[in-house]
Order: sequence, then structure tokens, then C-alpha cells
Amino acid sequence: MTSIVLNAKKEVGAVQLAEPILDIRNLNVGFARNRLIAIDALDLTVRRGEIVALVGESGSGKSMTALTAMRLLPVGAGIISGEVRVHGRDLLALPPSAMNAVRGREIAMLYQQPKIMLDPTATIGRQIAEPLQIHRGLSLKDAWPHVIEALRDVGIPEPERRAMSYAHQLSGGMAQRVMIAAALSASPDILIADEPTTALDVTVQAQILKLLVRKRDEASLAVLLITHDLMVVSAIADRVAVMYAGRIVEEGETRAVLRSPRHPYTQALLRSSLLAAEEDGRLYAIPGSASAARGLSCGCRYHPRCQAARSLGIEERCRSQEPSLSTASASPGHQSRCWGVQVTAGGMQ
Amino acid sequence: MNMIDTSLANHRANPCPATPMLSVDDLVKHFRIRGRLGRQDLVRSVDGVSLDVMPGEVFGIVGESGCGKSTLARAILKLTPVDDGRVLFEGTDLATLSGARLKSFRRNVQIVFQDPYAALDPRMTIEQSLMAPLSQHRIGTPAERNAAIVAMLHEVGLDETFLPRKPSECSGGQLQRVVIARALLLKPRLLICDEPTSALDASIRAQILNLLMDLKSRFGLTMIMISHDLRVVRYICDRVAVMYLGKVVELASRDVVFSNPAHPYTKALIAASMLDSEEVGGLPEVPEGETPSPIRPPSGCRFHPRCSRREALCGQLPPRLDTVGGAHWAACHFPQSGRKPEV
Amino acid sequence: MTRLDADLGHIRAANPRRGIRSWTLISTRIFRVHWMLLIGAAIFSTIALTLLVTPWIAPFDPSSQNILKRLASPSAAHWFGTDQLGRDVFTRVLYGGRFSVAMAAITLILCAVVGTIIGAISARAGGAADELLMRLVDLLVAFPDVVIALFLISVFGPGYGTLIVALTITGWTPFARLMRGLTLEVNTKEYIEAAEALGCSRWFIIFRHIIPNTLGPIFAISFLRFGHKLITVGALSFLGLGVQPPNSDWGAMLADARNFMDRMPWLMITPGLAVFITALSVTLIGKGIELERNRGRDENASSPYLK
Ligand SMILES: Nc1ncnc2c1ncn2[C@@H]1O[C@H](COP(=O)(O)OP(=O)(O)O)[C@@H](O)[C@H]1O
Ligand SMILES: Nc1ncnc2c1ncn2[C@@H]1O[C@H](COP(=O)(O)OP(=O)(O)O)[C@@H](O)[C@H]1O
Ligand code: SF4
Ligand code: SF4
Ligand SMILES: [Mg+2]
Ligand SMILES: [Mg+2]
Repeated sequence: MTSIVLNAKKEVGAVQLAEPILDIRNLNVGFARNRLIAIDALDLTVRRGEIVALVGESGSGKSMTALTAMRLLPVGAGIISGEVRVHGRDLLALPPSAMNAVRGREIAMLYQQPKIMLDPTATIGRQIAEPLQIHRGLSLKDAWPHVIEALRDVGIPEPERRAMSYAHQLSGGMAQRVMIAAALSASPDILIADEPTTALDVTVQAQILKLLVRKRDEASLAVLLITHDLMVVSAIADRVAVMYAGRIVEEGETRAVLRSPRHPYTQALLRSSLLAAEEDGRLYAIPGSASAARGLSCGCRYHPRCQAARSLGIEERCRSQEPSLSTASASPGHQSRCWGVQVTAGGMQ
Repeated sequence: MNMIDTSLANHRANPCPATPMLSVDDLVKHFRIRGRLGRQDLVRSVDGVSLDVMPGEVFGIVGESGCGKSTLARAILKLTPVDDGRVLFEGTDLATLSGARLKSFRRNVQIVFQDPYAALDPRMTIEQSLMAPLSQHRIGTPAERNAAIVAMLHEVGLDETFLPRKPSECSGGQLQRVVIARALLLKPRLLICDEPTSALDASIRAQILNLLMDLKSRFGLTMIMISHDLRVVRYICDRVAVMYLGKVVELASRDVVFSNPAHPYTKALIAASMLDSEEVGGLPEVPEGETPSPIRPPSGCRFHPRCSRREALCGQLPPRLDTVGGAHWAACHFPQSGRKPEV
Repeated sequence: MTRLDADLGHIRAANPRRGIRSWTLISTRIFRVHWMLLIGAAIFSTIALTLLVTPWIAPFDPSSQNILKRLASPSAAHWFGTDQLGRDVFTRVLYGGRFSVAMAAITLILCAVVGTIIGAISARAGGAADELLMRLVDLLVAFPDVVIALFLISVFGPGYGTLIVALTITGWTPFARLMRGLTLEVNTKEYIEAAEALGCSRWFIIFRHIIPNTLGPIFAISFLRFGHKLITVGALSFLGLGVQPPNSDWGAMLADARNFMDRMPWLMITPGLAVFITALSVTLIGKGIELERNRGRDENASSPYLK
């Protein structure tokens, strides 16, 4: 098992050459009413057959990134600038009607709470048939065998019976499988999975992740996996981007970022996610809260919570100037947005 | 030992001398759902569960979704009628409670739900949500209630600025604190936490767990921690029951469960949790196949279709929850310790 | 101006969904409501306001007869002409509307309240009580409204009281059915379970949790049912069982006009049109609310921030 994954990772060079499916360029999204920039100058590329993880605490802008790509922004949110290219075509420039043809067909999405997203009044079979009816013009009757097959494919036991049941009768794991079946039923090229396993148990999580990996390999699916769980990232992601307050603060190959995180936020996130007792018997929790970054318009957005800035004595610079993404280690594409890293790197040179 | 009828006897034989705060005796809860052609199907959500919770301990219940953890919690809270078995809270059979006695039982046992957004009425302000338990139980004067609410908000790390807010104006972590505050306002002695941190992210999860542990010692709580996250259980629980398809398959102290699991399912769960994932890359081995439907659970040992250690006997005879050494119980014919199968 | 202000200033221009393309969009952009809701509300509030101030603005006394001017065609003095007793039809349409609309509104509100409460109780109670109440609903639905109303009126005699009671008894069922379904949906929410675990009383749960969380659809169906009520009230008056002379409403006016239909069609057309426009405007409001809710749901469906 491990060897298979390692092989996949060895091919990273080849994956890098694969065609970009989703290409987000300099995306800025905000809420005018709250005077909030939710996504700040985000660049992100997901290539064919690649799983890119986007990690960060809630509120860091992960879901907004996903919703922008789907052109399903909540009321009040607006795109300030940027492009979301799928196969080179900017989705943000499409008329809404054209977007309906793209959703489900080229780009599909999974949600954290599949049960809320499933229609409580329709059988799950009907809901999986819907993309087939819309995009392939099949009748419900003709779509039905595909529905059963799709349910079986995502590992639903007794698919014929389950197809007739309703969302409330499903466990969270089953509902997420149903969502995957529905999302993939019209064979999109990129799947955006917004915390797809956060509410599930571990063996189910491992299976869903395995399912995503299988889909990546079988269908050369590009996956943007949004999560806050670094264990999930370490298990399946080819690359990872760490997000904080709307910005990418660290980015690179999974192994490089998780083995030798350079940004203080990535380090803290890794430490708190282990849930291992510290010397005082309590758990390590990142000090302060992400809301501290609200309303900051200059400097590093992490500086109100950053201990490294204090210990390195570079608080003044951190407060006044925002660092740019810069090379963090020898690993290709490993970048971080931190003065501290640049100082120590500069010191080493 | 092997000859003793398990379901009732095993925990009566519990070495712990104190009387349990809560005992669940051979509890059965089946849901009737309409299958095809109007046929009735039985969902065996909880199928003969026995366990004792001792005063002051943190008792963990882990298992995959659908194994009956929440149903068990609901039965313990008397939110759902049960089909068989009993739940005793401090010696009182919950089945006998109704009216005023049920209402006073509600003050003793409270629950924190998994999804704080769902656990609070979206149309009520935080103040209204917190006021409801106090006014419904006619506790204190309105002024005292206000004071109690504000004091409790401070206990959970929030402040009175949250009172006029709607749930949609708060973060998940903040709402979970509100839900905890609401549960603790009635000064319960047993707090059931049904996956309280599963919907929260890493740093918030650590904060909430730290908060729960603080509140546990400050309020002298006994806790049942339901979780699918073994990292949470490993950190917080004293004893752990592992459930699979409506049954308890292993029950032991935390250290024993994690260092020396006897049941193959427990081992699989520990592996899937990637507990010590210093190592980057690679998915863990998880049991093949899916959790079978609780409508038609497998014969014999319910884990046998997925078990790597199964033998012919497993498909025929359901293993009983039995000791594999001291206070370590497992429902497996071939537990890790190598005990011979009973016939 | 900070960078934040500058950036946010572009949001309006940059959002591709922002352009104002048609008057329906003007409705949604400026008033932030669906155009059906906007138009319906505009028409209905005009009607309601006119009916409210009728005693001050009506050109004639509704019952003052003028035999010399019987069955006159519309003129500057008598906009809708006069009836067989020489009464001003315009005035009578206004006064008649006061009865019709008030009666429909009162019975509708009673139906909504009764139906909502019964539906919620039925769903919460479950079991035999639920079964019994739903069979009662089936039974009532099986008989046409007017037949049951006729029966009650024949027992208790005509009059506003009987009319209201009769229409309430026959009219609460759709609300009860809808409410039962909505309640079953809300019942699965954890906050209901939390309320039970906290020991909240069943009335607290129904009135503070369930009804507030189901009010939207109930509101929408209330508006959609208004037209139906208006027509039922009219039908009963048409049969001579509603308001009694010398008072009149739109249904009674239609009944009176039957004999002069070929000679004096406006006697029939004007109250008929009044019923139609009023019913239509309120239905538009209901439809608008429903679409508005669905629009919100569609957009929210994409958003984890469900309000
Ligand atoms: N509907 C909304 N109204 C106002 N602010 C919102 C809304 N949705 C998201 N936000 C804000 O946008 C930011 C990013 O949110 P989101 O992308 O959902 O974060 P994540 O998915 O990483 O948890 C947050 O600060 C959040 O408060
Ligand atoms: N109201 C219900 N009707 C029918 N089946 C139910 C109901 N509630 C739970 N179940 C079923 O009972 C089993 C156990 O559910 P639950 O106790 O919620 O599991 P857990 O909390 O461990 O995930 C599941 O198979 C679920 O589908
Ligand atoms: S730039 Fe400064 S404040 Fe920001 S993470 Fe680096 S050291 Fe900390
Ligand atoms: S009883 Fe048999 S099938 Fe069941 S867990 Fe033990 S070895 Fe596996
Ligand atoms: Mg999110
Ligand atoms: Mg549960």
C-alpha cells in the first residue's frame, strides 16, 4: 500500500508536467458589507491526476475559494479580481446560464455536511440521476442502472434499496458516498472536496480518501481537497497549500511541508492537530484566534499570534510589512510567507 | 468465569467497588423502517449493550458512524423509547420516569451535540437559547437567571456580548461553547458529549477539549465521551467501550485499549486513526468492505465478513463480551491474548 | 482611502452577476424582492388602502336608492353605472369589498392558526393521535367546502359568525397537512432534541421552536389560499348565505346582477373583476414569497452559511 503511494509520489515530476485543470490566478474575493477580504491574491493550480490539499483553520477562506470556483458565492460576496480557469477558460467571465452547464459536467463539489446538501424530499437515487438527466439528457428510467452502478462504485451496500431511501436515513459516511456518486455521475474533470471527511469516522474517512485516490488514478481526476486535518493531507495529498486569513502562507510538496514546515503557523497547526498532551497535561492550542487577523491591512496577518516573531525579535517588520511567498527549502515549489524564514535563510547564505 | 452468563454478569463482576452512576443493562433499540413493498425492516441500532459508568470518570464510546453511539446516548437520555433492557441512573430505572420526575432527571443528565449549528435554534438569540432551560425549570428569578447565564458564558470562555447574537453570527467553536454552557446551566452530574469536537478544526478542538476537562473538574462532572476520533479518546477518557454494529466489542481502560487491543476491530480502528503519523504518506490498511447494514447484520460475529482473523466458528456463533484478563473485556472468539474459543 | 476600500469599491463592478438587465432585476436589486411580490404587494396595498378609507372617499351612500336613475350606464357621476335600485355600483363595490376582503382575511387567519397548531400537535404527538387527526383531515377534504358550510349554515342560520366558523372548519386542513410535514422535518433537527433533553415543555417546543422555523412556508401558502377564500366567501354570499341585505359583498352583488346580465353586463363585470384582481394580487404576493424563499435556498444550497 505504502509503496503504491510512494510510487505515485515519485512521479511528481511527471505530474508537474500534466495539464493544469484548475488554475486560479490572483484571485481576490471580499464582502463589501463587512469590509472583509476573504481571499487575498490567491494563486493555485491543480493539474490532471493530482490531489492538492488546501488546509487552514475555519474562516481562512478555503470554502470561499471553492465556492468562487463553482461560481456559487454567498449573497454579499463579490469577486474583486482574478481568474478561475478550467481547461484554460475563465469561469468568472461566463454568463450564469453557461455556468450551469459547467457545474457537474466539468467541475463538481463535495461538501462537509452532505446530509444538509441532499434534498430531504427526494430519494437519493433521483438526486444521483439528476446530473445525468441534465447533462446527458437521459430519462430517469434510463439513468437508473447508472445510478445503481454509481452507488455500488462508491461502496454503498444494497444499492438498489438505498437508491430508494432518503437522506435522513443515511449515516454521514453513506451520505458522503452518495454525494460523491452524485458529483461524479456526469464525469467532471475536477472535483472540489470541501472537508469531505471532517464529519466522518476514521475507517470511513480512510475509505473515502481511498475512493478519491482511486478516482484520481482511474479517471485522472484532479482533486482540490479542502481540509483542516493534516493527517488527511499526509495520507493522500500530492501537494499542499496552507491558508491563513485568506492568504497562502506555505505551499509545496506534502512531504516537504509536513516534514519540515517553515511557517510558524504551519508548525503550530501540526502541533495542535496531534492532540497529544503537553508537559502540563493539557493540549497545545494555537494562542489567540484567527479573528485577530480581521481588519489588519498591513503586515503579516499571523503576527498577533506569532511566537516566532517575538523570539526572533523581528516583530516590528512583521507588524508593518507583509512578507511575500518565497522559497522555503530545497524541495521544488516549497514556498512560505514569513520574514522569519527569510531572515534565517538569509543568515545561512 | 467462562460459564457465567455475560450480559448482566460481566459488569456486576466489575472489580471497581463504587456503585455505578449509570448502568445500561442489555439495552436494545430497534428502529422500524418501511422497506420495499411496504415491508417493515428492523434497524438493529443498539442490540444488547451493557455498560457501567462510574462516578467521576470519563467514559469513552468509540465506533464507526451508524454503530449506534448516538442511539445509545438518546436512550440514556430517555429521548427515545427502548425495545428491551434497562437504563439505570443512580439506581432509578428510566422507564419508570414521567412527568415531574422525568423533568428532574433532565437536570441530572445533559448532552452536547456534534454539530453546534444544528443544536441551536437558528431563530433564537444565544440569550433565548440559554434562558430556555432555566425558565422551563423555573430556576431563580429573571435577574438571577441573567446573572447565571452571564456567569456561565464566562465559564466557557465567552462573554455577554454574545447574548444578542444569532447562531449564524458566531463561529462553530463559539457555538459549541454556547451548547456546553446551555447543558451546564442545569448543573447536571452526567454530561454526555456526542462527538463534541468532530465538526471543529484542530486548534478549536484542542481548546474545547481543554475546556471540557477544566469544567469536568470544576463542576465535578461524570462524562460520557462519544467520539470516532481515537486521538480525542486517547487524550481524555479513563475507560473506553468500542462499539460495532450495535454491540460493544471491547471494553477496557484507555491504556489497555491502546497498548493491547484484543479485538481485531479495535486494532483496525487504531490503525485507521493514523495516531502516530510522524510518517508522511500512505493510507492505512482498513478492514475490507463496508460496514454491513444493521438491518441484516452478519450471523455469528458481526465483524466476521471483514475480519482478517476469522475462522469457521466466527460465522456461526456470536461471541460474548467476556473478560480477556481482569477488567479487559472483548467480544471475540480469538482475541489477541490467544484465549481458546468457548463452545 | 485604504487598500481595503479601494478593493471593495471594485466588487460591484467586478461581480459578473451585478449588471441590471431588466425591470425584474430592478425589482430584485432595488427592493431586493421578486417582481411578483413587488407587483402583488403594490396592487393589494392599493386595494386595502382604498377599502380602508371607503367611508370617506365613496362618492355616494351605498344604500341610497334613486329609482329615477335605475340601471344607468357608466357615466362621470356613476363610474360603474347604477343597479336595479339606482344605487351607485362603484360605491357598492367599495363597500362590498370591505366585507369580502375582511371576511376572507379573518377566516384565512383563523384557518392558518388552527391548522398550524393542529398540524404541529399531530406531528409531535405521533402514533394514534396523529393517525386520528390525519384521518379527520382526509374526511374534511373529501367534502367540498361549500357543502359543509351549507350544512352548518342550515343548522345555525346565516350570519357572519356562522360564516366564519363554517369556513374555518372547512379551511384549516391544508394548513394542518403542510404544517405536519414541515414539523416532521424540523423534528429531526438536533435543537429539538436538545430542547427535549433540557426538559422544555411540549408547548415551548411547538411555539418557540417549531412554529417560528416553519413560518415561511405557512406564510406563503396563506397568501396562496387567500384567493380561494375570497371566492368561497363570494360563493356563499352568492347563494344568499353570507352577508344579509341591505349590506352586500362581491358575491351578493354578483348574485343580484344575474337577472340583468344581458342588459347590464357591468353589474356583473365590476364585482367579478374586483374579486379577480384582489385574488390575483394576493396570489402574486404568495408566489413571490415562495420564489423568494427558493431563491434564497438555491443560493444557500451552495453556501455552508445556512441562515
Ligand atoms: N455569507 C458570509 N457572510 C459574511 N462573511 C462570510 C460569509 N461566508 C464566509 N464569510 C467570511 O469569509 C471568510 C472565509 O470563509 P470560508 O471560506 O468559509 O472559510 P473556511 O472554509 O476556510 O472555513 C471568513 O472570515 C468568513 O467569516
Ligand atoms: N430515527 C431513525 N430511524 C431509522 N433508523 C435510524 C434512526 N436513527 C438511527 N437510525 C439507524 O440506527 C443506526 C445507528 O445510528 P446512530 O446511533 O446515529 O449511530 P452513530 O451515532 O454511532 O453514528 C444507523 O444505522 C442509523 O441509520
Ligand atoms: S512573518 Fe513574522 S509574524 Fe508572520 S509568521 Fe513569520 S515570523 Fe511570524
Ligand atoms: S470473533 Fe472471529 S470474526 Fe469476530 S472479531 Fe473475533 S476473530 Fe474476528
Ligand atoms: Mg469551510
Ligand atoms: Mg452519532
